[in-house]
Amino acid sequence: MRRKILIIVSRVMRIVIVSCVIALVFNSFSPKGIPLITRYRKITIRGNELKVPIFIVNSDRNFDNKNRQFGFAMHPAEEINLKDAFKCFANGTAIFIDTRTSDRYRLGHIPGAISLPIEELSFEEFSLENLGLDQKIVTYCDGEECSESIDLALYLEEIGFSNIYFFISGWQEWKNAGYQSSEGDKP
Amino acid sequence: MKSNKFILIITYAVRFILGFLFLYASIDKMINPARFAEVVYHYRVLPIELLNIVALLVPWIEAVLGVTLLLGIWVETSAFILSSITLFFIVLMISAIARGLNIECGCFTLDPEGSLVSWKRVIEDFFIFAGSMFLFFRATGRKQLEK
Repeated sequence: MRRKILIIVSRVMRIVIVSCVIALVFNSFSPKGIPLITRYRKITIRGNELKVPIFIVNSDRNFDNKNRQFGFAMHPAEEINLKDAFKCFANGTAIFIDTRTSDRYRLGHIPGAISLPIEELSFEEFSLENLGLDQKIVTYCDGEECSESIDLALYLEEIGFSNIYFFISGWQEWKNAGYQSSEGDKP
Repeated sequence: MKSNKFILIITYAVRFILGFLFLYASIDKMINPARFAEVVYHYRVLPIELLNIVALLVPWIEAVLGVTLLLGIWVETSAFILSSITLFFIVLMISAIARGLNIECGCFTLDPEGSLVSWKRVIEDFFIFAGSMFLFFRATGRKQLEK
C-alpha cells in the first residue's frame, strides 16, 4: 500500500513537472504568451486601494515590463464625487460617458453624455477617435451597485487616455440631487 | 466472466471520454491564456499576482492528463489528479454560486457567449469526478497498471 502511494506521488510530480515545462516553453514562443506574474495597477475607490489586473500578452509592445507600465503616459483613473462631477458639467470641462443600457439612457441621462452601453459594446469596435488622449472624461452608470463606469474608465486608461474619472454614485445620485437631465436617444 | 468484460468496456469508455473531454477543454485556454486568466480572476479566489501562472499551467496539466488517459499511460495517477482537480472546480463553482457571482465558467471554452457558472455545470463536474474516481479504483485494482 505504502509503495503504491509512493508510486502515485512520484508520478503526480512527474506529470505536473512535465506539464509545467511544456507550458513555460509554449508560453515563451506563443504570440499570445503572457507574463508569469500578473501585472496590475492600483486604483482608489472610497479611500480603499484596490489592485486591478492588466491582462496583457508579451507581444504587447506598448507595455514596459521593467517599469510595469504602458509606453505612453498613463495617469491612473480616479474617482470623482457628485460636486466635482457637477462642476465639470457646469464648466463644460469634461465629456460624460453613460455606460448604462440604451433603454436606461433613453429614459434619462446627464445632458450631453455620450451613450456607450458596455453590455452592448464590443471593445474591438470601440473608438473615440475624435477625442484627444488628454480629454477629461467622466464615466458613470446607475449607482454604487454597478461597476460599468469603473470598467470603462480602466479600459480607457489602458488604451491611453490620461484624464479619466469614474463617477461611482452615478445617475441615481445625480437625479436625486435634482440636477439637469435629458431624455431620448440624443445627448 | 461476462460482467467482467462489461466492466472492462465501461472502463475503456470512461477513459476515452474523459481523455477527449480534458484535451478538448484545454485547447482554448492554452491558446489564449490571457483570456483564461481573466476568467480565473472573476472567481475572486486567487491573489492577483498568481492569476497568470495558474492560467498558464492548468490547461497544460489538463492536456497532459487528456493524453495520458487516451494513451492509457499511468491511468491511476492521471485519474487521481483528474479527480482532485475536478473536486477543486466543484468547490470553486459552489463558492461562486454561494457568493452570488454571475461569472463565466471557463470550463470547456472561453467563448464569451459560453456558459456561466451554474448548478448544471456543478452536476456535470460531479459526473466527471465520479468517472475519474471509478477509473482510479479500477486502475489501482489492476496489478499490471502499476508497472
